[in-house]
Amino acid sequence: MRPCAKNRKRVAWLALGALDAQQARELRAHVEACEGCRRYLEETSMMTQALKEAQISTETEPSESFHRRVARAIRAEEPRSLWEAMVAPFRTTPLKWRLALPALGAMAVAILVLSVLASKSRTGSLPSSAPYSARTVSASSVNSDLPPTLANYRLVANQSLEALDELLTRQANKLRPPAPIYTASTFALVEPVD
Amino acid sequence: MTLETPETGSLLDRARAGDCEAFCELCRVYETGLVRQAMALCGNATLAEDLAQDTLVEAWKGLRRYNGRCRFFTWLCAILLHRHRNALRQKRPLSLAAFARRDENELEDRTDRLADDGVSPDQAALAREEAALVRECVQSLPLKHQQVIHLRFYVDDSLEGIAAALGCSVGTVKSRLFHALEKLRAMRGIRALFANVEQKVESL
Repeated sequence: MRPCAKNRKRVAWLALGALDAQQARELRAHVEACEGCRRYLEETSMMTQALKEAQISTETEPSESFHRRVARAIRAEEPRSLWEAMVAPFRTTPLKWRLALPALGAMAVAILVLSVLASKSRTGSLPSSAPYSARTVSASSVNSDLPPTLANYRLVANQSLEALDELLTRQANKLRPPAPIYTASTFALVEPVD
Repeated sequence: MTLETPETGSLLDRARAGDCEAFCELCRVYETGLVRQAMALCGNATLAEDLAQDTLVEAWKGLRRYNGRCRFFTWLCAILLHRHRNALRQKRPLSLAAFARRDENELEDRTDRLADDGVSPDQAALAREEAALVRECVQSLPLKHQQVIHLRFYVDDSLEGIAAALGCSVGTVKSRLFHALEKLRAMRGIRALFANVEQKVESL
């Protein structure tokens, strides 16, 4: 006959002495009336008794040199390394992995989402009103030299005013004639005026 | 096993403050009990001393983690069980050989002891076989179940102490004890043992 499903654990705990006095009294009253639970309690008690009887021998003694070896090994652990000394204060607080892992996961997801949003806002989106030729210009070409057309200036200005400023400066520098380089030979070629 | 005294408490406080010599003195108090526990696990005196030594060194290194919510000896035994399981994983063939030797040695020891107590050699041999069978069955349990059985029956600590030593709740300890007993009950060796006991009871 099987024990009652709802009392199975509690009967095992009764045999283990893991119930308080009130719970044990109530369960014993049930066990006396229930054949299945009584049988289960007998078996479990027999098992706990067998476990108690398989006690550890008290005759074993450590060898004479054992304490010396232990003391030597413990002293050899000192002094602690710099790294151990640094992390030691953090070890006093046990890390609860069940809480730490989801928190780390959530942080990783948040960082990922933020980085994706940041990259999207940097590249921006093309205005629908921009002409076709402007829309076909990729974002990466903003930094390279674009033809000086109004559509291109508009495209770059929509992305950022700094980029437009940079583009205009670059184009102005490109159109400026190179500064003359004066060397000794340059002056030698000039005929003296009498 | 109650080893905690005001003296050990004071040594423990000094050791936690970083006093290496105080910890060495503390080891002197606990090492015999620890070697006996190790001997029961690995069955070989040399291996048992190595295991106990490693346990004490690891305890010194991680002493800041001991929060005083369980007996210090229980905490040491929890480390010992972890290290033993790791050693078994790394050197399984050697450890199994040691188990075989343990059975032979224990048979002689237990038989001699019981013979001295006025117990017949047959009864002594039977008692030894039953004890060895029970311990073998416990050894074959998963680590988490082995730990709670060992700490409950052989270190004899409270459920709260076991929970603190293992870093889990009392409910978890009770649950693991229940499942450990269920697994032991399902083992063929244990069933045979109970059948013998029942036969004996009926014949009386």
